[in-house]
Amino acid sequence: MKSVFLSVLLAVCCISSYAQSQDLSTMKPAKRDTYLIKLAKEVVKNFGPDYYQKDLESSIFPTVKVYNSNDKRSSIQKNVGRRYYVVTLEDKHSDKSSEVLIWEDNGEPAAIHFSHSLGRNFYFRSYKQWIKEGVKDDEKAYYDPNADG
Amino acid sequence: MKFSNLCGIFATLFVTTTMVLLASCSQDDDNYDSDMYTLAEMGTRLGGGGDPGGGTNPYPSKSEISNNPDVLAKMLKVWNQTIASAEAGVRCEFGFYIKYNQGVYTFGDVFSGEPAGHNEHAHITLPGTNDPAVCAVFHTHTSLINCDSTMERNVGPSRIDYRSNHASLMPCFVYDYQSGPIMGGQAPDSPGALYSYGQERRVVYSNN
Repeated sequence: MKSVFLSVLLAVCCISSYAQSQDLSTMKPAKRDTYLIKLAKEVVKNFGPDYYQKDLESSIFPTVKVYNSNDKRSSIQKNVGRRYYVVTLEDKHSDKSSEVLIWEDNGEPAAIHFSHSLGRNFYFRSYKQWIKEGVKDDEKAYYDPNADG
Repeated sequence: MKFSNLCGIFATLFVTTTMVLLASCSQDDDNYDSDMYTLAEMGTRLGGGGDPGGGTNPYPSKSEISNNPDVLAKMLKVWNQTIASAEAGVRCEFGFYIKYNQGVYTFGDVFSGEPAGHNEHAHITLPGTNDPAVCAVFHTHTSLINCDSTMERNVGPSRIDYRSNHASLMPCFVYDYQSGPIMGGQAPDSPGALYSYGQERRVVYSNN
């Protein structure tokens, strides 16, 4: 029984992501920035593996942005007014880049955009839920070196 | 004036000059500024004269091109074609070269990119050209009308657009939605807008 419990616990730990519900506005800047960059890299790895490298150059947009959208769907409108950070990750050796939007109030990813601008949002399906259920191959972004805008 | 005061003035001048130079270099390196015109603004711009400047460069400037009613009408037609195509289930980008000769604009063939799947990035690569009449390049971005709602795209020129060969050679225009990011299943009647990026005029090399 004990081994079954330990196995379940281990499985839960494995599928959980780095994204934890935490208010980033109360975090010390250095700790917050470390969290943002680590989470952003995880999101890139999960949704755009072609864009992931260990030595990605990271930068955090200096001001916190406020979410707004003209899209009237409730899953989108419920986020209007929320504050978010933008983390940019760039490959120094190519034109691959990604930007990850992370909510300030709960520290969870809001969206990811890749160099060609296309990406995923987590308004209709939360990032944590998606990771738990598994990201399918056709839901990931792939890099095409020959693609123009 | 005391020697220490003079040193202070020189030090201030040196620091200020260095900061200005660094700022201008940084702007050149990034070159990410994009001018956006909404449809409403474009309406008021129709018939505008544009800037006749440009020295010995015979090519028109971005504003001269985007002020021309024939050019605008052509761009709008291809944007509408892009939306209609996406609504019919074929999501692809369209584009063409804009040519200029002695005050008259003409257009190259309209090309379409490969149709993109529901989760795929749509893109277009126009065939290369040596035509000296080409003064600018235009393409459209696609709608996400029939895509999964979790798909999302920033609007306007992408980083790849900014870094394209065309952008380093000539004015570039992209027609896209006015406000974004846009998401899959968006309202099809979202207003469009014209964005510009790339060179102010086609670059003229000494061997041209």
